[in-house]
Amino acid sequence: MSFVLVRSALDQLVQVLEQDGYDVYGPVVVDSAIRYQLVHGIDELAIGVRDVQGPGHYSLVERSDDAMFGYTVGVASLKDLFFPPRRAVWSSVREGGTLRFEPAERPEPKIAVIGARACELAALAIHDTVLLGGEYKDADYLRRRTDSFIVSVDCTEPGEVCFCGSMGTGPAATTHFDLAMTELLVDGEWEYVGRFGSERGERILERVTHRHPDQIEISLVRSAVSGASDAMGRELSTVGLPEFLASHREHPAWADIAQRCLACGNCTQACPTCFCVSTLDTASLDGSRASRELRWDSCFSLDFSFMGGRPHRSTIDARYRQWLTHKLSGWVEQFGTSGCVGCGRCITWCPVGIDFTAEIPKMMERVDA
Amino acid sequence: MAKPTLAVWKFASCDGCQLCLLDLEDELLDIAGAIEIAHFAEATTAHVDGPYSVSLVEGSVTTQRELERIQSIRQQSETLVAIGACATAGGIQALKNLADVDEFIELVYATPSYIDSLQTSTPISAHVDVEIEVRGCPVNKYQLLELVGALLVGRKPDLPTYPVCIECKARGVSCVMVASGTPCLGPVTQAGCGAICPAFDRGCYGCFGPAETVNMDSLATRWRELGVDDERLLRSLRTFNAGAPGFAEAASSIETSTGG
Ligand code: SF4
Ligand code: SF4
Ligand code: SF4
Ligand code: SF4
Repeated sequence: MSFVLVRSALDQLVQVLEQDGYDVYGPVVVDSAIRYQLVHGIDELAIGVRDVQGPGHYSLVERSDDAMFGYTVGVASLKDLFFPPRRAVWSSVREGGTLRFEPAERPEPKIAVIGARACELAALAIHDTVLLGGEYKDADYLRRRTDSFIVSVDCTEPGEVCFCGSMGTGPAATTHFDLAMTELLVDGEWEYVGRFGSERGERILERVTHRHPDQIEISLVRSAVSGASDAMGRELSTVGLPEFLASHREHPAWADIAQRCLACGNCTQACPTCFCVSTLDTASLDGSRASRELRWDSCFSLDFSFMGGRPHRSTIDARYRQWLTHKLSGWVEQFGTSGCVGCGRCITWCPVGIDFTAEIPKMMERVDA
Repeated sequence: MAKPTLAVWKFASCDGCQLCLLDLEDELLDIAGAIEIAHFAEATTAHVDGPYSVSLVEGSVTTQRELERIQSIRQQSETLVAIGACATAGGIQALKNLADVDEFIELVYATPSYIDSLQTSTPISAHVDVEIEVRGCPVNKYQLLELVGALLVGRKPDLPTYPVCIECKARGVSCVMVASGTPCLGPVTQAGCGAICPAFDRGCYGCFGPAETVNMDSLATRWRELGVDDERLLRSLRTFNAGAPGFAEAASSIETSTGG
């Protein structure tokens, strides 16, 4: 069950998706960083660039080739598309003595994404569990997800802050895609050797020029993916980690990290799995209309833990501990998986470059010593 | 039922925050429909005597007369809201708190005896109880609108105290400090502006004053790595909100640590 596309066929793919009413998003260079943007053709994509990431550092450099997916991960993840930072839930109108409630207007177009990474799909799987797995489903998320179409592209050159290998989420996509591809340069031509993830994916591809891969192409994909697994910039040993964090709520490391942590919340906002929101009600001046909005929140904000008249996580230590412990420990208990997919965004986009893959081993050593 | 009354007062300030209120062109009619504007010198010479349901106070206290006037306004106002960096932190003019004012006056004015000024510029809350503070230099007009709307129905206004970074990410800006190495005060500055400066590829200048949590020691370390010297660090904290506790303390600690 596999296929090969040449580069120009990707343009066909975009067109076919548009014909079917999709808004197609792909990786684009915006203000010196890569982000998912609405695209109408592949020439708009981030061709020939590579991202250099490190703790508190991100930059784009030119590649020596014109690979189309030759970067690791963008600034924002699929979270921004499926679980946007601000969204309306309902509005109400006062009519005489009663209130009439209306669900928020839903965006009509269906979302298609080209270039999603394995770690991002793992994060999507986590959001599906968190937002749709329980008794009360996030209706807006459900609608966006139900109609979505995902074309994943495997990572062949992981970055400096990547550790999907440790988290078991990459570098090749295994789930939650309609089509998945590996970008290969074969005899000077770019090829996209792919596999199907859904019937919907098969039906779409019927309308795009493709052929079957030969043995050489299949083995090239294998070695590209295994090469990527060996090239992870970071690693995190997860054996016993949830238990370790749960049993070390008191540890000198929290105060040490808090000296550096700004409590700015960038890690939680950049993380593809963080799902906390706060609810905000607004009303028109004459009181005739009101509306409710959900906004991304962060466990680094003081209001987040406001209970009984005061925030109970007033120190930065307590807030950093909440983030890390929820992500890597509490999450397992709550949802059955880690809350981290190893994308490295919290390391890169932390303005002071705090890197928990470095902090955790230090913490563990301090206990062992 | 009589409409609630709104009064807008000016102290030592540039009038910019009052102008933000006037700048709400599309919404002004709605505001005027919902409340009676009893005093607003920037907009009209009409004046209605107090008491007032809500007083918006722009500007800081820098003269003896202002000291007395703020007491009288407080007495006439059910709810008193300080708007802008001057009213909430003393404004740019609070820089005089760090200097010898008499020497300045001698140098600047031809006839120093004409000048009658206090030695300090202080926020409204240093003199009277203030129910709500709206930050910014100038304020964000939509925060003013939100404030008026919330007061009218008696709900809590949406005036978040978390840092600019939260708005920056929500707006889809790529952090300028991480992506371009541009020093930014966003992590220690209160949100409310909508992350305007980072959206235009500039670092935050801190015009909304200190956020709920300020870890300037750590941010200063980062700024120094980016090549910022202590003089510039001090200036960045001593601009619009030099008198705000979070920034003032951070600045003095930088000054002490560098023996400045
Ligand atoms: S915790 Fe960090 S590395 Fe893990 S998924 Fe979130 S942003 Fe990525
Ligand atoms: S780490 Fe914090 S912001 Fe993220 S999901 Fe957990 S509690 Fe929410
Ligand atoms: S760990 Fe970094 S990104 Fe997260 S709150 Fe602290 S300083 Fe901000
Ligand atoms: S640009 Fe400034 S405000 Fe925006 S995330 Fe970076 S540090 Fe925060």
